[in-house]
Amino acid sequence: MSKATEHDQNKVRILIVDDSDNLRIVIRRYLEKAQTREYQFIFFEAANGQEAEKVLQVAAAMNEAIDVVFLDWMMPTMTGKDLLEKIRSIELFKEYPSVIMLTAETNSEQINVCLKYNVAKYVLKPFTQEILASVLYEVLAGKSDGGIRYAV
Amino acid sequence: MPFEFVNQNDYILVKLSGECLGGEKPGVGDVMTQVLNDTKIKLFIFQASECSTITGAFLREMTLGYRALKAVNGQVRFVGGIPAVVHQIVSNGLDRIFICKMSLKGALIDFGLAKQKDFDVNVINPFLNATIKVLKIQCFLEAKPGKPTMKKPTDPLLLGDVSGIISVVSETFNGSFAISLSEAIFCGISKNMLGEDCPAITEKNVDLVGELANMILGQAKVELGQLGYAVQMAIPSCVWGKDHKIKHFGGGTCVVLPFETEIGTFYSEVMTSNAAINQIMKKAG
Repeated sequence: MSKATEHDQNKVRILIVDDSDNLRIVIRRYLEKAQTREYQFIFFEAANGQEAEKVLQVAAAMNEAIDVVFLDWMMPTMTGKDLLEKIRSIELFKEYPSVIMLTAETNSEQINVCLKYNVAKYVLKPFTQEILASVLYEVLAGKSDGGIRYAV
Repeated sequence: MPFEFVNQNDYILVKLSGECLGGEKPGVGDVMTQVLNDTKIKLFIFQASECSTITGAFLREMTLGYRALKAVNGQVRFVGGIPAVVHQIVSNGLDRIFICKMSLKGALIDFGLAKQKDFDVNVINPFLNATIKVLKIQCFLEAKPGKPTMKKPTDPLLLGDVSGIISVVSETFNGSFAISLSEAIFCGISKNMLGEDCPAITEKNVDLVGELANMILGQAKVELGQLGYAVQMAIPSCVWGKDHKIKHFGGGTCVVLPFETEIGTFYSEVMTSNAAINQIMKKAG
């Protein structure tokens, strides 16, 4: 389980980072359907790495740290990989939040680059609602093994 | 004999087979010189895909033929060799003379003989399969491919109302991919994905088609990788409006792939840049 969920078992703060407005909506809709009595999700959104960094900083400053980030790879201004590199160099974000990369990047060498930044899971686009829900719950259960999931 | 010289009009194809040990009578270098003198063709391609062994002695005899070729500014390429064969060439310091290429196509491009036919049709299927997969999984839309057609690379007109375009960049293959949708299909896909009605294409929702292009390229990358094309990801762009136009990157061969769905026809375009390929191959050579 991620750090922030320890302070409130029912609330999971999820940051969705994707430059596509539509994809953010799709991800959010899929995750909304996956809510249970045990876990209620609070959503935050960012269109690029720079915006996401601000959300992470502000949320942490308000003692409402983000638990899980769904992070796109290819984005203008600051890519998902650049954001990972940056936040993992900050003490506060070295371990948390848990990051689920959600990317069309299928090159295993490129994906492996992200492993060193403590990525919990990879989900390859296109994805299904079932895949998003299952990786989220695996991460919330502490199974952050950097495993790759894809729809067939 | 472990070698056969075949006149291909523009170049001589030397097919190597089995064990190329050297000491053959006549030797490979002697035949090479003879063929050069008889045909005046200065481009030789050694095809070694059927060759299991090549010795230093055989390579030395090849260099005799190369000397005659060099005197008339000819060139040699060596293609399809198994690693042990290529290693033998490199370890004998001959890789600068017998420049190794992965494929016959690569050698022909090097010689400037593949300008009109260097579009590798094999790159189409990865995009076709990826389009079907992405539409099915992400958009809940079954798409059946129709008959591909060629389009003039100078023709910028797309057949839909909205298009997502993304560059396709690799060490050996450059170009671009576009997916072009009618407004009806765009709105249908949007409804399927977002679960609410989409009355029209707008500035707010148009990025959806770019995201589709991005996902299709990502999926196509897997199959392209199996074909030896290590494609890089890129950021897509979107264009829309009646009779909208796009300019594919490069300006090479363009194939249009039609797809039938229950809500109409849409199109994908795959374009490869000949200029880019030639430039890259020259650099590699």
